[in-house]
Amino acid sequence: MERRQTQPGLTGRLSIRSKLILTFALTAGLMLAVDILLYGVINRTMNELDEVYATNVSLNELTECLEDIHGTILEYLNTKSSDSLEDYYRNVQDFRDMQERLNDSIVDNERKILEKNIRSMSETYLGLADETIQAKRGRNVESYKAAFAEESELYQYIQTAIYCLNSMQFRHNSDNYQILRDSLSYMEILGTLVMVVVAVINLLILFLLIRTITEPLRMLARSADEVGRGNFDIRFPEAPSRDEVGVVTDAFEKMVRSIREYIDKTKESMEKEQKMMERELLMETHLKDAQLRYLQAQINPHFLFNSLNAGAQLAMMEDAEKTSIFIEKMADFFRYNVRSSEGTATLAEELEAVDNYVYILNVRFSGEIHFEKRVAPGVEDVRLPSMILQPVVENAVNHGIREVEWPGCIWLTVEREEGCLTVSVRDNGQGMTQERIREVLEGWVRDETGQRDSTGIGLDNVISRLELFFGQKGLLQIYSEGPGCGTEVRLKIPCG
Amino acid sequence: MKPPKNHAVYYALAALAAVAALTFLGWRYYMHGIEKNRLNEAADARTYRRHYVIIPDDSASPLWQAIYESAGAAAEEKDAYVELLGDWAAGDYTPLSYVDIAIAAQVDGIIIRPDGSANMRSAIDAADAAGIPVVTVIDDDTASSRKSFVGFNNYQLGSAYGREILKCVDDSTQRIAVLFKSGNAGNELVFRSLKAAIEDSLPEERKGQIEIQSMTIPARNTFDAEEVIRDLFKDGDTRPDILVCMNETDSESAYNAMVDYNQVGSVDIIGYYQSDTILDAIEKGIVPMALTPDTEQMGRYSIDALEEYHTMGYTSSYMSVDLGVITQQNVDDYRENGTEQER
Repeated sequence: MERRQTQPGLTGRLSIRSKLILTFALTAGLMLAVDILLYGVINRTMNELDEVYATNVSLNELTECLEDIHGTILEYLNTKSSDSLEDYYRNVQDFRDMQERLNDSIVDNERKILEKNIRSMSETYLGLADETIQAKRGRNVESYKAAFAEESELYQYIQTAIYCLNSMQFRHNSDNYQILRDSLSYMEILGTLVMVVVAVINLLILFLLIRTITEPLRMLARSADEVGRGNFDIRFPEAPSRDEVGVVTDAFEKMVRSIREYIDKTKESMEKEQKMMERELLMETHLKDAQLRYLQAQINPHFLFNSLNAGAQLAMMEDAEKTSIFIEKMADFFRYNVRSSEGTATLAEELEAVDNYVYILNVRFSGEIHFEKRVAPGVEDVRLPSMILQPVVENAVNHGIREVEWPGCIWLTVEREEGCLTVSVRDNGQGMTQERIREVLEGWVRDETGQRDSTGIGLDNVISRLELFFGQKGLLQIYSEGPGCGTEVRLKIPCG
Repeated sequence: MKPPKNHAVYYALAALAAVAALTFLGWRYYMHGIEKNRLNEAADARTYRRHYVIIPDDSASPLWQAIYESAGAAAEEKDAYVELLGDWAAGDYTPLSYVDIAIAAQVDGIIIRPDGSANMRSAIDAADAAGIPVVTVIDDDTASSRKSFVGFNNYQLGSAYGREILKCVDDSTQRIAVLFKSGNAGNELVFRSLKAAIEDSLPEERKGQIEIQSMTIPARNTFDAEEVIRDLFKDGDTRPDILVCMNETDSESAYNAMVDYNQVGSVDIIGYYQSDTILDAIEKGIVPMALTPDTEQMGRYSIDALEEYHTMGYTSSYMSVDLGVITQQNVDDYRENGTEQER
């Protein structure tokens, strides 16, 4: 479980709230900007549309003003009123103001050159008009009549020129008007196009920004599914953002990591415990083994055999036959005992060791022990761990019949059953409580007393070795109906 | 699991910026187009030092258009502007009115074809008095105070016509009609030299058999010429064998009348000026020939005269221009020239 950590980008550093606000602000701002631009241009075009015919209007004003001048001159010539003279001068002033706006340079343009002509003609006209007025004032009749005729003619020319210019302007303005109209319809198309493009871009931005929100969630959900299926070894995706989802992803990752660590630790400690138990067991076995070897080593067996053999021969020479047999049995018993450290023996050898042991005890205790054995035929060659039966019999003697008032009996039977032999050692001794039986079987009782007067091998040792040898449990059972009712130890020897 | 591409946001933003920039540029280009169209008069207009006017007797005629064109080109080289003054009031104004207008408008020079009238003469004088030099073209008015004349010597013109007429004279030729516009003092001289040129070259036996007739079309009304020419064709007795035209309008009218009265082949028209109709007719052999002034020279010399007058205070009083003869053989040259000029 690992995760690459990289520096998050611009969108990665923002929280979901900021992202949503940013998305909205961006798209709305874009639309607004386009709107403002379009409306601005359309508004401008509309204003231009309004002004298209402005030049025509001003030309009309010029014509009117000229008409006024001509009218006031006529009026003055007719009436010589000071009012008309005043009007005349005012009109001339107005006309001059308007005239100033006309082009006066020689330009390569039909309308401009006409403007220039009108302006120059107007100058001439105003000069003539002045001349007329002055002649009238001076009451020079001939002169003012001639001047007025000339002025009138020029007035007509100027009117015609203005009319010409007006229609030229009108044609030109109409063209401009058409262009503006066309541009408005073009703007409609362009505006729609721009709107569509911007809308598409807005959608794209929305999609991308929202994806930065939803994609980590989806990845997190997938990771959670993986963990749910028990796979703690998932590779965590790179946290693309530091937003709320990023925080949740981090927390989730930490949780999965700690769960995994916990599982690992538990597994480890369980394994350790297992190992420790095994070692403990092994140590105990070794201790036992060492104990046995220690005990065995207490007697130098060869010296003992040789001494016993020498004793047997001596007894024979002194014709003490019973002593000789006793000593011989003693030697056999100890020989077998020493040999048992080699591991396994046949059932016959085991039974012989029991016979020898009982004989020795009977010599020691003046035939107090009644021992009977019944062996099924053809079982002599069955192999089993050595020194198994003798300790059981020794147990029956030491704990069963030694302390009782009545004559102690021990019955040993070997029977063949399905797939195994059953060896039963029964006594009519003290018997055992169920609790005691349980304690003995579970190995809680150490045979402390037997250390002094026994061959040194306890029941627990017998049980362990049987179980180790055959790889089964429960091969040794103890039955007793209670104190004073005797005890039966039954061994199950698996065979063939 | 594929991590989301944050870069895509930047790409989107870049694309957005690109689209915005493109749209803005397209917009600017488009608006610039509108602005340019609207303001071209202010933006492109060139300012000149002098202002000359050409006052034609028919502003729509190709002859005047050609003169105006060459004069305009010549003037431009001299930093002067030429205005064709002649269509203000849908034909209500005569060239005389336009001279008055030009004087009132205080132009720097007038180019005009005088009609020989006293009014015109006094108008030219008035212009001169106002300090405006006048150059006459095609026809002259020597009595006026015009500064220069650009055109043909009347005698040479008559002789040239006479020589061309002779090429059309055959045994059946009995009547030759020469159309003049009234009021031109030079008409008489032209006719006399024309007649002399023909008669001097006729063989003895034919002398006196051919009637050479001068017809002056009264300039009362704009459409008089057309009527007079139609009358000529209508009446078999008066119908000429050779019809000589001294201006481009008469030439076209005569050609149309000849076709209308089915006189192709029986009447030879000697036209004037290289209008498309006449060029087509010459090419088809319907009209044998036409005489044409070099309009390029005419326009250029007029401007030269005015410029010279302004700079030097005087100018030569006569500038001769070449007279060309268009026949079926060389008609293509004139067509090409005309096309070139139009270009």
